[in-house]
Amino acid sequence: MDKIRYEDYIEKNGSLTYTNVGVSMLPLLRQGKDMFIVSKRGIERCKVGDVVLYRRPPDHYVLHRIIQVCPDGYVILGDNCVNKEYSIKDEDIIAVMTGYVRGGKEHSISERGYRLYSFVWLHTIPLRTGIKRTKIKVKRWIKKRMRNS
Amino acid sequence: MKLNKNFLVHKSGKETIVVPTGNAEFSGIVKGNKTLGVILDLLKKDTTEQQIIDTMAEEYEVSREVIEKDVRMTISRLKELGAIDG
Repeated sequence: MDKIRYEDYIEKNGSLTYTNVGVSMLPLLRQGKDMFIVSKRGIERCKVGDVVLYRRPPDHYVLHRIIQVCPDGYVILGDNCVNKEYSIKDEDIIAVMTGYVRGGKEHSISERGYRLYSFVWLHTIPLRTGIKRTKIKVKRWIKKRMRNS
Repeated sequence: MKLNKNFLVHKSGKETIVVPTGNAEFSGIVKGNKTLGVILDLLKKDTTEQQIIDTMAEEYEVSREVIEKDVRMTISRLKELGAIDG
């Protein structure tokens, strides 16, 4: 069977519906349950809040959210991540999420529920990442204490 | 036989797609028409090839031969991809 790259598939079909791997876009996309729908990006630049499919060289594909637009690229963060990515250029971005399938039902990103989720998620990044980092530190500390005792 | 739990089905307009989750060995995408969608709906519950053919023959005004051919071909393809258990 011939393998086709995501970018070639999207170029040919205009959009792609697929599943995510991992937990980086929780709670929006649950691995093994939900699907994302991405469409070929236009000529205009992406904006804050866009969830984009991009290529992380050499051959890693990632679906995360843009949290800052810079003159020479984007700052990107997964909804469930704490570490931002700073070096994503326009040419790395293949497609933009236009919808998702949750519980078997297709949703558009223009729906009120999604827009509210996106707004809240974007405006609570320092709080969420701070809590998550603290949790990680506490877990490590407990593990270390248990090993040493 | 039944649809493997590591595959998700989505219907959009006239198109039906089957995509694997991260746990499946297959990493592509299967696209088909409404017939594929009907077969996949029936595969959500444990069934047999013959039961699928019978159900579709009862429901659709298409010759049984055509249904048999479509069902056998589709199931064979899905089995090759590991999308069907049993």
